[in-house]
Amino acid sequence: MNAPDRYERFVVPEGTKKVAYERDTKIVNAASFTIEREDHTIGNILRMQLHRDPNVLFAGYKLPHPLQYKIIIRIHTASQSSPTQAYTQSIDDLDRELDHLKKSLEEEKRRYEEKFRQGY
Amino acid sequence: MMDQFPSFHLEDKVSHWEGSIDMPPAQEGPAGPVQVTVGGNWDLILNLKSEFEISSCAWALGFARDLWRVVLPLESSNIVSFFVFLQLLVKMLLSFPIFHCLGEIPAARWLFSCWDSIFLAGFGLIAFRCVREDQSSVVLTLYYLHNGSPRVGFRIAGREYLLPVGLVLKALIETTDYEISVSLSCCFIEKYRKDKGAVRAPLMRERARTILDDIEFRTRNQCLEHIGKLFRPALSKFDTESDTFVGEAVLRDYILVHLNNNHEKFNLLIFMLQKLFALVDQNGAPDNVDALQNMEVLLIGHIMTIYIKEKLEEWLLKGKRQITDEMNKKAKDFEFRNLLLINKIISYNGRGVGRSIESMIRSGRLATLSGLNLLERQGFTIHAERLNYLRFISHFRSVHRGSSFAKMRSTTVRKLLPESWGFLCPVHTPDGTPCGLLNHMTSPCRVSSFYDINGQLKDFLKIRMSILAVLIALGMTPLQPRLEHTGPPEVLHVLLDGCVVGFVASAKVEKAVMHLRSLKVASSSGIPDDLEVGFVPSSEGGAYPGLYLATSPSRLIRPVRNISCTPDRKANIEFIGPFEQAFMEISCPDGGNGGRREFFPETHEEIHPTGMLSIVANLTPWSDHNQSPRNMYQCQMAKQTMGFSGQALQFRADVKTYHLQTPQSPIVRTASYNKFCLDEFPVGTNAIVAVLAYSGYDMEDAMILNKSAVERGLFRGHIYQTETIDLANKKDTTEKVLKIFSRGLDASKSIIDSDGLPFVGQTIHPNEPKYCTYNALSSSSSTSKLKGSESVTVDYVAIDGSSSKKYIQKVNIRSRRVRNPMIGDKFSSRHGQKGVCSQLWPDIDMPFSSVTGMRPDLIINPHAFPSRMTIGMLLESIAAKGGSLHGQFVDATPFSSSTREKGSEKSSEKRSMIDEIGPMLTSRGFNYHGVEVLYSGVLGTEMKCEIFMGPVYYQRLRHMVSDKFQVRSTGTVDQITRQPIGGRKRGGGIRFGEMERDSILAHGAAYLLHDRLHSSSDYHIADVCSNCGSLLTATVVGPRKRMTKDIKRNLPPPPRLANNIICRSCKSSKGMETVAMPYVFRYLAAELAAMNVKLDLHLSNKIGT
Amino acid sequence: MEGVSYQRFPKVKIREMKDDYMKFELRETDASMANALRRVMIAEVPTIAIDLVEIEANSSVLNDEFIAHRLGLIPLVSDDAMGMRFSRDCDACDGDGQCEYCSVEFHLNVRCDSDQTLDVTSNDLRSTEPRVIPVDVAARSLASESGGFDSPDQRLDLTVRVVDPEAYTYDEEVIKKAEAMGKPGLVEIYAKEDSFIFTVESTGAIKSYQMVINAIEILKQKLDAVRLQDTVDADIGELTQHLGRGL
Repeated sequence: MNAPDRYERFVVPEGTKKVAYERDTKIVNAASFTIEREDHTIGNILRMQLHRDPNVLFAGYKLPHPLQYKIIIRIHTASQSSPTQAYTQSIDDLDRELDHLKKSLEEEKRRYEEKFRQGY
Repeated sequence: MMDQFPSFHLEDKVSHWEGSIDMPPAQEGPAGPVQVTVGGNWDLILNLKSEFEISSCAWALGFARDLWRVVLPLESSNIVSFFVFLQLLVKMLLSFPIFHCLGEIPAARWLFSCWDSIFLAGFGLIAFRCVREDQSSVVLTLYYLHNGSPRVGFRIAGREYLLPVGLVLKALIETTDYEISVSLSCCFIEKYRKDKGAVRAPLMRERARTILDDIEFRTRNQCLEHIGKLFRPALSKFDTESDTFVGEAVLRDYILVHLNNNHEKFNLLIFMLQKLFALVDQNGAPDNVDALQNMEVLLIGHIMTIYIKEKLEEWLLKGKRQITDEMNKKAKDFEFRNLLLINKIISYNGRGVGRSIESMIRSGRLATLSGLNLLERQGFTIHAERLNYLRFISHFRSVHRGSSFAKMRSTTVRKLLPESWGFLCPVHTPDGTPCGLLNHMTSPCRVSSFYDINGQLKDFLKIRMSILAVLIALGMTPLQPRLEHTGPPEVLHVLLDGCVVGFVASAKVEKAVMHLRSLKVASSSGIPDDLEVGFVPSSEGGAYPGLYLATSPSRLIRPVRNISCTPDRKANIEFIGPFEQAFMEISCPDGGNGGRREFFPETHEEIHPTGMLSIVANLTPWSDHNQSPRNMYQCQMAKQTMGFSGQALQFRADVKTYHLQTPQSPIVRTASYNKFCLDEFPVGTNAIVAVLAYSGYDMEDAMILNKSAVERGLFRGHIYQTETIDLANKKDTTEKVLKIFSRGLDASKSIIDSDGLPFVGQTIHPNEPKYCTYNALSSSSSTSKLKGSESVTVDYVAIDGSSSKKYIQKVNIRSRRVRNPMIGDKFSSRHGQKGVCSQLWPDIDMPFSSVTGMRPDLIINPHAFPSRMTIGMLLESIAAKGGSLHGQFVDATPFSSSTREKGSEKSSEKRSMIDEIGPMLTSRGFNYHGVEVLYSGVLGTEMKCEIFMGPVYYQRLRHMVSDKFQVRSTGTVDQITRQPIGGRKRGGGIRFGEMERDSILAHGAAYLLHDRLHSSSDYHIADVCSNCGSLLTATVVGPRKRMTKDIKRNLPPPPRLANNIICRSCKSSKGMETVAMPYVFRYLAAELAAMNVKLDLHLSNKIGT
Repeated sequence: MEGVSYQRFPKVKIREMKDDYMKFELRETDASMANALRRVMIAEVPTIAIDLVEIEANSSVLNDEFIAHRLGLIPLVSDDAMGMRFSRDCDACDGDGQCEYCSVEFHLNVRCDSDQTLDVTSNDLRSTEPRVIPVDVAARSLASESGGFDSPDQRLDLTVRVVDPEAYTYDEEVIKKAEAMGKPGLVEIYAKEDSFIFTVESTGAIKSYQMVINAIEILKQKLDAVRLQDTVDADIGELTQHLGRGL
């Protein structure tokens, strides 16, 4: 019938950007980022990371419709920052956190295996 | 074991007819046996029979494999549409006089009578359905008239005739007025007048006098002669016989036909009169004609037998007429001994018999003039659908009240009466039009038949003789043709299969009944186990007392325990019928006595309370915890479920079959599930169901399916469809082959094989060729294309080689279409909780349990429970959870708390189910109440409250969006009105009807209204003449014709000029205006013009003028 | 503004680790990160599975779609999956899944010549690539996260000894018990909102530890993908706005 193709969930359609930025027309320092082909996985960590930023007055995301495979993140910051800045900052922070996590996991694995060897 | 299984009864004489039949002896020498040519339709009947035998045997063995195919594809690969006979409940129990009050008999009824011109208003009647040995029946009715003289009514060829009862009595046997008078009045005895059940009719003697005064004939011969004279015109076949002979024939063929002896008929008529008078005098209650107590079942075989009998009679009469015609035509050449000639003449219309039977099976309609004394003429068969196994077997267990009742406005026939307890399932009846009319037999219920439990043909004469011997030994006084005997309450009459055989003293009768019942239970007593011992005790204003015994076939019977005769729990199963049940004391082992008085101790006991439910109703787990309508819904839905319809799907040629790819055995199941071996034909899946409101997509009975679960195979299914394509011209009897399967040049080789048929395993998309044919006459080939919007896969192609021609002319193509669950498909649990899939939710977005990491397969909304009260479903969920944790199936037989088990103590009975299941869960680290802490799959945060989650057996119903969706943007329009057509198949729209219009009007949405009803419908610009106001006279003149060269050059048509249009009646182009209007309006003007009505339009630019 | 970071430094402690099973603690981060890891592990860590089935002959009782579906469910050893390409964005073969970078070919050729039913298992699959073979032990893929709970409050004279704080899930059973004892409010349970216990079970396609590592890697890739590409444009827009306001 008219169900969308399965690949639509992953493939960014031709002519659209992965991330589209749109400034709010009424409020300064507020903008929404439309991210194509992403879901709660990205939306939620970005939102929570943005909440850690004291300059962010509002950060939220929504999945407009289960069959529209995109999320919209809306950020409102204080005047000394900007939504793009906060957005990029949060991605950087998350990236570093994941790097740290990976490193500590690898270390922990080494330690665990060491302990394992000594144990037996 | 046999009795435990459902079995349907086709004991019929159909098979006895298969060979030859004997011609009635002709005047000179025997004409010899005439072969009845019956052709394929007979095969059909006999096949049906043998299949039924096979499958019922299979049941007896405890499994029911797919045996239908044994006959089907091997014999011919034809798709055979199976028709199942509905078993009809007939109104009257055989051989039991049923009294009902009519009130005043309407005068119109009397006009029917051919001769009784005295218009007497009467009330009350006794109807008696007499059945011959071949199961054809004649209803005899006794009407009571106000003057005290009853009339005997019976039907000949559909017309009712009435005779004074005195005339019939006197014509039956050589008797005297005194004898009749005494016989009638003897039942009234002054001394018992005040006693219970006594006949308190001192008017008996006066009535007897009225009866006798009504007729002026003295001797039997005079009476017979009179009857003969009256009925000669009604009976065509007696041209040369004497009046006396005709009179005797009337008595033989229409009066109490189940008896052969005139003395017996006389005695029975006297008995009926006594009952009639007793009830008219209000000494007893009228019998309820709608109660199952007074009904028996009209079986397939019996209808077939009498139908074939009548058809053969018709055929023989026709043959006789033809022979006489032949004789008259060429009397000299005609030679009776010339068998060939006789055969030829007789077989002129021999095929008609087979054909009429085939058409009867197909249409379920009896094409008969006489009506066969049946109340119904149509609705005898239904199509046996093999949608799933439950639907299939339910067809054979169904009992219909008759299609004529469906149209009746009164609801009395549909009522659930206590008399049907144990025989008809109170749950398993559809809601809607057939509610209460289409019933299903309970799982232990059977129909008595010509065959006994060992499959041997019963010898009814022997059975009756042995019953009589027992009765006499028990103290029954045989009824000699003697005059005087007393009536109730001193003695009770004994009727055996509608024949008054004697009377027993009231004091002895109870003991006699007890003894008879113990003989019934004992296997080697000569008394059949399905003997009905209807003992109606004397009562104050109750049913007319007597001892009514019945051995006849087609009564409903069911097993109960007889606890009065033997303590042995294994050998005390007694079969009882609905008539006797009303007067028996049967307890249900639920601990209570059901309000039974102490002086009526229980004599029988129900085997299990679930015996009151049909097979399908028995499958609902814990149905005793559900609100009753939910169980009824489940019975309907179980029959619409996709499941395993058959196990040899590969070899079957069903027109349409639904198939579930990965069905499962339910964790929670009833005892019946195992008993009927339904694991062979499972119908659902154990889905992990979470009850929570999540994402809003589970509102209003919608449900969310886990997309990954579906991708792993949950609820996946197929539809198989078989199409038979026969290119042979049925009408053309010549052997010429006109059309054959062959690939034409235009067909693609990748889709169509060289034989013109598709490849097996090939996927065909819509509008792609399905098969190719070649027409030898026009030497052209054509391709047939796949219709619809869904692509199919060719599953199987079978060539019918039975037509010994060397070309392929007949094929079966079985195709399959994949039906994976999608938004809009319908599912239901086994508790009448149906829902439509609203989203296939990604696995990662589903809520998950922190302990097990489990995500549910399916989410339903908690609002589905409070108003519907399907507690059984909650129990199923929690029990299945416990069962799956411990690796065991859980028994969910309803009413298990009402069964008395030998070993169990009181304390264990009192334990509630939750006390059993709760510890099962806690022992595996789960919550006692079956709830779990879930986390949002979207945010990863814990949910505010615990969620009830567990496995529930879910069914996928056959209603799927793919079969139902309807969309249209533009498309075909109607020829006449130019409005969009309707109908899903044709790509039509959905009607925006009057009520929708009303609603839009009420909203004031004028633009929308205009858009729907005009712009998007039959928008039309008409030329109207403002002079004459005519809509139809506009015509185009001038150089409007397009040149051929223009068309060739593809030039656009020249612009339409306004002045090119003139009004034909005004002969001018002046005043021509264009007006937008619905095209139907123009059509209306044309229609009106055809009726000479002119429609004037007054054009104006101003609004409101 | 530069150099300001709101980054967290999560701590990991492995409790148990086997090839197809792993249990570790994740501390000092929040539910969104834990859930994102869970979601990526379930849905986005690449594994190899049979995606395209070409049936040459099938005379079994099972139809083509059924067999194709069952083949698709077989877990295959996917250690190389991270290095392979999705066939949908493979340049080498135009996305039709025919090249070595994005596909592995299997052959299934089974014939039943006896009267008995023949079992066809994943062992009958012949792979063209020795590193991609069906996983022997079929196990369900399951990754789950569990919030840990810490010590209940102790009050009054009654002491409640907490044996295993993780054993509690907030299902009110303990609180109900306390109420049944006549001591409402005896026990209170609070979740430790920055600690998580992960249990990772794998089908065997990838080792459980590798799955976690891959998940982190995938999540990083995803985050990189959603970075603003045209940061300059956006910033200029922002700047002009500031300037406009400033003037």
